[in-house]
Amino acid sequence: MIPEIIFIAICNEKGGVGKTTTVINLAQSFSDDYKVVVIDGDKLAATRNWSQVRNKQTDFAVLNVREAVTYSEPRDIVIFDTAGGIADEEIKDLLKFCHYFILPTKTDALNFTPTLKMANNFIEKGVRFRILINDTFGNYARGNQLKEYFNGENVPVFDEMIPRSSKIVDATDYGKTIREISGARQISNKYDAIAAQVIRDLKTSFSKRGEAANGK
Amino acid sequence: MANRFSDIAKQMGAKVDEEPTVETDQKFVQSKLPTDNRKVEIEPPSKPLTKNPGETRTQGVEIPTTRKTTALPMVLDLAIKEVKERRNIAGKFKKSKKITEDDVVIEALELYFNKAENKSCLEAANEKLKYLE
Repeated sequence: MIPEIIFIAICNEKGGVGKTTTVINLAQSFSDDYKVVVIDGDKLAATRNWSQVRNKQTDFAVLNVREAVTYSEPRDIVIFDTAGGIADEEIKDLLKFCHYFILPTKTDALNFTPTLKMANNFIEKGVRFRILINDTFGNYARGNQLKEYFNGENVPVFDEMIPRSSKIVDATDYGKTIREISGARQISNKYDAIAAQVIRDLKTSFSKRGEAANGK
Repeated sequence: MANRFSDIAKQMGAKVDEEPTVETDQKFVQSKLPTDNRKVEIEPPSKPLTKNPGETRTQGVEIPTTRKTTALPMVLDLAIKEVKERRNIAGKFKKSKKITEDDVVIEALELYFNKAENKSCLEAANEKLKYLE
């Protein structure tokens, strides 16, 4: 049985890897089947600002830290959006309760090297996580190369990657999710598939834990 | 301040482990990892980056090219591509200096090792740079 309320953190010590874009679009995908709350833990409040642009008209709640403390509506999934350059102490704090971590990265060496360091750290601690390859270009060639590398090193990575696209920029500029942008269905489907993979991972690992607890 | 996320999570119904043991799910990772290879090592190249003084510049730098055997070559490969792309863009505006393959490789090495904080390898790259100069 997966937890009654699932806590997910989207984080990377490196900034500018697409954390907020990931949060917004995954929250949209999750909200098809779950009640979703996004907590903007970034002092720059990018997710909150995005939500303000659309007068908070979303299929999921977007809260700042202060609002989150008093939030009383039902929720199935709580997603924490974190700041770029997140401190070690904050990561340790997230490790106390989060069931799943998503590490977005871009495909260049300056971005994926810090991601790889974080991944190593998570692997050592036995944390449930996957890397999400964002902003891949050249018909996915670079992303596929990186995915092959991560797979070769047994670092968990999402099956789907997010391509570089002006439609993603349009979506954030106009306070929309990618699903709400005309002609971006293909990218939207990728976020849906990533959300589905998160749920599959959680179901698989929690069912195994249940079996272990029952002595199977 | 250090507990700001977990304090919120408690309010929202999370079970907070004060000791972040994160035995959350060893199985998930272990199922993806062989037991003897759970940490991804970024190793320095097996061959020294410095050259013998007798070798000529035209011989170029020996960069390992295999991708699956070690982490470094793939990373370097991508770093070199990154630098080459930037050089190509810059080359349109600045044609005064001819850029050699060695220049590209050295910049890529610096780019990568500086980030990876592997000072010994960076020093080796610097030595190489001095020799070429």
